[in-house]
Parts: sequence; C-alpha cells; structure tokens
Amino acid sequence: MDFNVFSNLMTGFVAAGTFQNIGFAMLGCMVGTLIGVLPGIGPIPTLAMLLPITFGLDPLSSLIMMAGIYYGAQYGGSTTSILVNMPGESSSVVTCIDGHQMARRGRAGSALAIAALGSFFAGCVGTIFIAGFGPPLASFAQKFNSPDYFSLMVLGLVTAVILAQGSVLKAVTVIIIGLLFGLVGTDVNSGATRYTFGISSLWDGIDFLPMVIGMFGLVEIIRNLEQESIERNPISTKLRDLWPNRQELKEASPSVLRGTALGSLLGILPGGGAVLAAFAAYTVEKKVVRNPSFAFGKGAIQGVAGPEAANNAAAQTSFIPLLTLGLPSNPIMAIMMGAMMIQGIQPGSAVMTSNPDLFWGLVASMWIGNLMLVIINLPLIGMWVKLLQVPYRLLYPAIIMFCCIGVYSSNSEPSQLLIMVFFAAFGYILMRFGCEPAPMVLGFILGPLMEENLRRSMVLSRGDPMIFMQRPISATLLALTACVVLLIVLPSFRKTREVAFQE
Amino acid sequence: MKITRRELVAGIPALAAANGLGLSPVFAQEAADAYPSREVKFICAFPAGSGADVYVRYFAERMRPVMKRTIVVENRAGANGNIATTYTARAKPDGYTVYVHAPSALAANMHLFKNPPVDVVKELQVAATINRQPFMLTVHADSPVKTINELVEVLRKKGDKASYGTTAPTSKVAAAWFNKVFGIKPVEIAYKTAGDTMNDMKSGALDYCMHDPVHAVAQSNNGALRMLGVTTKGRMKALPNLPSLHEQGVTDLDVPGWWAAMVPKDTPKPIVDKLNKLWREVIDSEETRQFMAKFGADTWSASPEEAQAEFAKDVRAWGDYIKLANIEPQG
Repeated sequence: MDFNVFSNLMTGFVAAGTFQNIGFAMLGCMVGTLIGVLPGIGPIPTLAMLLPITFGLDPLSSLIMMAGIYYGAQYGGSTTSILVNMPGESSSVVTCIDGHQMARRGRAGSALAIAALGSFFAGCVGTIFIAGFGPPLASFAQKFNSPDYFSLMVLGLVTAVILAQGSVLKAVTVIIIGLLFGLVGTDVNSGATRYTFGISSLWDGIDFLPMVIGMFGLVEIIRNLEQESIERNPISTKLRDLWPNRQELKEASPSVLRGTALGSLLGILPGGGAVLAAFAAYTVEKKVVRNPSFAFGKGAIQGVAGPEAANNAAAQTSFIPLLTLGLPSNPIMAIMMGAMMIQGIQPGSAVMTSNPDLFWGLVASMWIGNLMLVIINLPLIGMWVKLLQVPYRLLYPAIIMFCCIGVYSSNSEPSQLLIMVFFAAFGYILMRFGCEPAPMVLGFILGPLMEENLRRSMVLSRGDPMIFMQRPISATLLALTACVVLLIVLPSFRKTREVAFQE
Repeated sequence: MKITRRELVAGIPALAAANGLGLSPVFAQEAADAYPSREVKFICAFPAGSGADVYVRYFAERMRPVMKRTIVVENRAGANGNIATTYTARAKPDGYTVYVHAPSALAANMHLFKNPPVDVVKELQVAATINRQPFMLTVHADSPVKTINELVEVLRKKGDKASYGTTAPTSKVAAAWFNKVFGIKPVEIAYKTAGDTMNDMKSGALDYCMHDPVHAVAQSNNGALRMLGVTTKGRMKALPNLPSLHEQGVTDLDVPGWWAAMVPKDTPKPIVDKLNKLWREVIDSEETRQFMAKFGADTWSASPEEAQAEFAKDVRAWGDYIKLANIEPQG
C-alpha cells in the first residue's frame, strides 16, 4: 500500500461525502435492511426493479445507492437468521446455527449487536483492502484456473464435515445429498437434462431460495409447533440487556478478526466467495476456539461473530474483480455492472484512471454505508427483539406469508412454492434423523461448481488427472485437504471431537 | 366490477368471433387507436438481474413515455426460455403481453429440445425488431495472434492439443463452422458464462473463444481480449473496423443474434402495427443507437412481416446448425 492510497481515499470521501450522495447511501441502506429482514425477498430482485430508477441519477449516486442495498440486505439477512432461523441468503445460512440458539436463550440482542459491530469492523477493513490491495489481489485471483477451483471446492466440502455436529457419517451423507440436489438441471457440457423427470421448471436446477426457506424457516416453524408448551425466555428490552456483556465481547473480538481476514481473501474469488467465507470462518472458529462459554451449535457467540465478519468482508472485497477486471463475481455484481454500462462507464481497470472520482467515491461510500448501517440498526435492535414477543399464532402465519411472497416473486412460478414445500418436508425428515441442514446447503452450492471445474480440467488435460497435482495452487489446496481428512480420520482427533460435542 | 353470469354468457359469441374470425376491421382499428389503454406487461425470459433483464428493463423504461402507460417487467425465467415462451403464446392476444426476447434463441430452442412446447413461428408474432448482434471470435490480448490466418496457423500446428471455449448454442455453432471451414479439430471446452473463460484464456489453456458481444466489447476495451471477427456476414455499424469472419475466409458464416418484441399470434393486425410504430420511435432514436453500440450491437427496425419471415428462416437454419455443432436435442 503506498501513500497515494490515502490521497485517493480523500478524493473519494470528497466525492461520496456530498449531501446528495450521503442521502442515497442512507436510502440504500434502509431499503436494503428492510428487504433483508423480510424473509424471502432478496437483494437481487430489488436491485433489478430499482435499476430503471437509477438511469436518471448521476452514476456515482446510483452506484452508492445500489451498493447500500447490497450490504444493507446482507445485514438484514443476519437479523432474520438470528431471530427466526431464516437465512435470507446463502451467506447467512451459518449465522442461523449459533445465532438462533442465542436468541432462544434470550441473547438475541447481543447476537444482533455482535453481528452489527463485527460486520462494521469487517466492512472498514474490507474498504481499506480494496483501496490498498485491489489491483494486486485481482491479479492473484486471475491465476485461479479450473483445476485450482476444483481443489478449493474439495477443501471447502471436506471442511464442511467439521461444521456439522454429531456423527461424521451423517455429515458426509448430507453433503452427498446436497451434491446430488446440485446435479439437477441442464448439464453445461452436453446440454443433457439430469434428474428433471420431464418437469420443465427443474431444467435450470433447483433454486437456492425455496430450498433454504423450506429447510430452515418452515422446518423451524414445524419444530416449534411440535413442542406443546413452548418455553419462552422472558425477553428484556432494556438497553443494558440487549448489549453484549463484557465476557461476550471478549470472546467475540478475536473471532471477528479471524473472520475478517478470511472473508477479505475469499471474497475476491468469483463464485460463492461470500458463502465460502462464512462457512470457512465457522469451521475455523470451531477448530480454534478452545473453551467457549457455550458449545458451538448451542449458541456460541464466536459462531456468530466469525461468519458475520467474514461474509461482510467478502461482500466488500467481491467488488474487486468487478472494479479492477470488469468481471462480476456474483449476480449482484452483474447488476452493478449493468448499471455502470447503462451509465456509459466501462467496468474494469480503466475505471480507476478514467473516472477516479467514481472509483474512489464508491470505495469511500462503502465505509460510509457500513457506518450508516450501524447507526440505523443499533437503535432498532430493541424493536427487532420485540418482534420475538409477538405471539406465535400471529408471527408464524406472517412469516409463512412473506416466505411465499418472496419465493413466488423471484420468477412468478408457482412450482417454486412446491419446491419450498418439498424441502420443508425433507428438512423435517433430516431433523428427525438428527442431521444438520447447513452442510447439505454447502454441498448444494459448491457441488455444481466443483463438477463444472472438474470436468473442464479433465477436458483441458485431455483426461490426465495429474493436472491437479502439477499446478502449485491446486496441489497446495489438495495437500491441505489431505491434512483435514487425516484430522477427521485419526482416532485421537475423533475422540476430542466427540468429547467436545458431549458438552 | 362485478360480472354476472348473464353478461358472461352474452359475451361468449363476441369472444368466439374475436378469436376465430378476427375482429371486424373497423372494430379492430378502433381498438388499435385506443391501444394501449392500460398497463402493459413485458415478459423477460431471464431472472431479474441477469444481463438480458437489464436490457428488457432498459426498454421498459424507454417505452413508458412512448406508450404513455405503466410497463411492468415480469421475469419468467427457466427452461432455456421455454417457460416465458409458453406463457406468452397462451396469453390473451390483445397486445398487453409483450415478450421481449431474442427470436434467434427461440429458433434454436425449436431444435435443442426433442419436444419444443410451442411452435414459435406459428404461435408468436414478431411485432417489432430491436437489434442485430454478432458473437465475436476472441483471443487473449497477450496472445501474439493478430489475425484469423495467424490463429488458423497456430491451431493447425497444435492439432488436437488446441482448445477453444464456448458459452452458448450460438457460440458453439459459430465455432463449429469456423473449425469446419479450416478443417481443424481443436477440443471444445464449455463454459456457463463468458466471465468464466477469462482465467483459462489468460493462462493460455484456451486458444480462442466465441464470446457474446457484451462481454467481448467490454473486455476488449479493458485491454484483456482481442476481437478478431464477428459472426454476422457483414460488419457491424457499431464496430466498423472489425472485419467479419466471412470476409476472412469463413465463407457464408452468418449467425447473428437478434432481439424483438413478440406477441401471441392471434393479436389483431392493427395492434401489431401500432406496437411496431411505437417501438420504432425508441429503436430509431439516437440514444438507443448509442446504447446498443456500447454492447457491440446495431439497432434494427423492420416491418412485422419482414421480421416474421426472418424468424421462420432462422428456425429452418437452426436445424442444420445443431447438426453442424453436433448438439444432441434434449427432452
């Protein structure tokens, strides 16, 4: 990082700090938080619908508003994950595991505050990352070829085994089930349709949204209905009780640091960067933290702090490929790219030199947006927590209604609702067998990417599997994978793992 | 408004006449003069936020002042566009459901699937054309290859060690044609999106790619790709210095993509003509020309009859294309 970065950032703050731009940042963050909190209504359709409005704005204002919606939604998504066990997007799936458990034992306010503060910290670091290391990081990401991606996914899936509680066998089983669900749809190489049973709505594969809403949200509701007398912790809305206590802050801080570092690095990779970051951060926390006050899966604050910091850092650094290479790394970045092109700006390395105000203004606005989210959300925590006091007979039908609206509106297809119901039933069966849904979701997301890269690598090498060992990046990742497998298989480790879960 | 059973029954003969025989010319003309008198729906066959969706929403925004009505974009994504196509074909033929999509892709679908759900030329009517856009043959900017001849030389030398990337049926077809003309047999690597090809192009694993214009133009401005030719027979007005592949020895290669606004086949002719007129106001404007040029596409306006003939021609051509590119129809 050279000294210029600071003068550049100053340029950015001047551009983004105008009254109008701060207003748009605020508007974006508020809309984003709102749609993030409503289960099922994600940032992608919202941004797409708002896109025409941005035609009339100046380019920087429109990008600032859209970016605000993006991380506002990330933040709002964590809120529903914690309160009602309903991940709004793939990257907040992990937050459900411990965040919702915290809410169940009356620490919802603390979980929300840690998520907000952790995200803010990660956002600040992410912003500096983009400013200082954007271009070199982007060129590193360019070195990832198909074999390297494949090895990265293998590592991700193997570590997912650690993610699950209970038996290794069950974890491996659900990951494989997730992989199989990921196979549904049209195959890229041959164009063949697989496991679609002639149903045309399955030709493009199973959508993520109906799957997680069914498996997490609806299953949670069914589980609560099953318990005849629901014991609810008396929920205090006094500010003192909403705030994390000293012990919690002490436990969460190192996790936030680790999550931020991991998220900033993984975010620059195209594909499931933010998702991978959140899952990886959770795995790391589980490995590193020795004596949590509450076990992982039972409401460990580290399990909220790490992944939340990681997904926000990754959300921030996922701008790097777009801004420096002109390559969108996820659908939201693709919309941003569309918005830039409509405004007559060619995304890519040229933005930095041809529109420095825009580039640095956007970077600066990310920091402003993150600050704003904390300002908007911390006072609202009391309100969100009060939401838990709404009687279940009113809360549950409302949640189900929003889920249905969200799932249906993603592409106006009634079949999506049937898929949601299917996964609710499936998730219930998994729960009854004591299987965790989170590793399955990871298998589902990574499976297709892994397959695509595996087959592409094999075609490129004309069928020689040595391609995975010859490339240094891929070989390193596979070596790491081998270590993880050893750890899982070695009896001594297994024992400690089992002991850890008996707590 | 409450509709009684009596009113419903009374309405049946009129509806039957409208569907079976077409509205009487005078009546239909009156309907067209009043058109559009309420909200219009644009159907998009891709999910919200995709590149195509940005396109459709751009036109919804531009058509709003011309139609003087609210325009709602409805995303009916899935099954390679078949879901949106079926939906439009079954919609009421009154001009209020407009399918903004690429007829060239619909023509391809007629052969990519064993049982296409809709016979597109028989059940859809092109009301207005929007643009013509090529695919581009690209190499990485670091590659020493500057012309098609040099590329062919490299590919010949590498023989079956050469590889190329494709991203869509049109891209497969254009590449297969190119390989056939020069008698070369590089190995095809299929990608989901053009962005995915970039790292493999940079590392030299891919010798060339057939890219969509949006990606190719953006990345060539970015200094990452070099475009060697377009898949339309003539050059594009948007890129007058980029020769066509046809000019460079890939004789008769002409696989353009084109976009259009389509309505159900039974839509009365005066309404189709009115839509054509309204769309032309937007398509023929300088602003749209410049917008299209950024994506490497030329605006194109044509009469509904001309466009429908082009549509039918494309459907026939795709029958040969998929054989050429060795694509197995799916069911």
